[in-house]
Amino acid sequence: MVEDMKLRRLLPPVRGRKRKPSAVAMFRDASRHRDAGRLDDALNLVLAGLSEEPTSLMGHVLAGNLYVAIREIGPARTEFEHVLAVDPHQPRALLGLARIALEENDALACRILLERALDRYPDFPEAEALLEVVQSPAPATVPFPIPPPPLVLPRRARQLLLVACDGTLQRSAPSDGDPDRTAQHVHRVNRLVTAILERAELGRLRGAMIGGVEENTLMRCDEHASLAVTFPADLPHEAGWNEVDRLWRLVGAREDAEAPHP
Amino acid sequence: MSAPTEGRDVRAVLEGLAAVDGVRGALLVAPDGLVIASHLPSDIGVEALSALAATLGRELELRSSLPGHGPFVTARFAAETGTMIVATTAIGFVVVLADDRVEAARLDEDVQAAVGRIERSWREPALR
Repeated sequence: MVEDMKLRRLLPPVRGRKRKPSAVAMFRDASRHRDAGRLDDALNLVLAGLSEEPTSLMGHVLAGNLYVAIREIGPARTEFEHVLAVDPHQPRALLGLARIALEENDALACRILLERALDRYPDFPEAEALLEVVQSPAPATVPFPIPPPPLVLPRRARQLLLVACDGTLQRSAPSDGDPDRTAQHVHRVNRLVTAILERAELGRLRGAMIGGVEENTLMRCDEHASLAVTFPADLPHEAGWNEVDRLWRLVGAREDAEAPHP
Repeated sequence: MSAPTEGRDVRAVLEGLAAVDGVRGALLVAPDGLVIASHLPSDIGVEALSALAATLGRELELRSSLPGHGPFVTARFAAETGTMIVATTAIGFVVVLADDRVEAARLDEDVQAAVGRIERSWREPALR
């Protein structure tokens, strides 16, 4: 009886004490938040889980992906590198770092990382799809049998680029403004879009309009080259397209100059 | 334990886009490649498409670091037999694939409306 009373006095505080969730439970909850798009909540839970279990590779991969998701690339890289220092073939960390390398215009590093992932895990559709994009296309034909004439920047246009299918810059205006870097961006966009369109069986890319807050980039493309011209956003689209189509004909009378605008 | 609010059900937003005449599929993907919601035909592998779409979305986002360029809002790509639209939201990228039966102006409006709904719903606090 006395023992019973002693126990009753002890039990309530024991029942009332909330157990701290395990790191695995926090990662699981974080995944649920992440699946629902609550990225900050998910990251906070993962970081809390990692403070409980700092060696968890699953936690570090989750953290890396979440940092990418909230566009914090520095910490994402640190997380992926930490994982690969322990397990050099962790596929998600390799994919994460490969995507960062691609963002940083380092196609070679991207390719090496993806190949490393596919070497160990050949059935990895994400890595396979990105590897197709970063592998250099074999130039099937000379992009311009007759070198294109110098192109003059249309009135009100901010930038003009003519990029061959292998990513080399053919013509640009004005000469300042880092045209090589922008040409690489145009090339990567072209390759990524082409890969998506192929999968959706929508045919080859013919043109694009990339709308920004202050400017629009209008693009004409075929299998040989892409012409991208950037105009201020207040310029009517039709006026911009007239200029782009005129230049497109000028660089080689491309067959699709009359195709509908995007 | 958390539960999504009604407004947070982005699957319904994607379903609405996928139901537009001529649309082959729609996807909402986070910048790390995680699919938040998708309505794709079975012949399009969602893993590969999400990786490509997320990388494309980031590439378009990063154009703001190029001289003379600002943040992107929407991109429209014309192909031989269809169109792809990519739009940015706070939580990721909306990607819509449509064949050439689609009415371009209407699709643009529908995508903008979808982006607005996603943005509004994500500003609402989650039920805890």
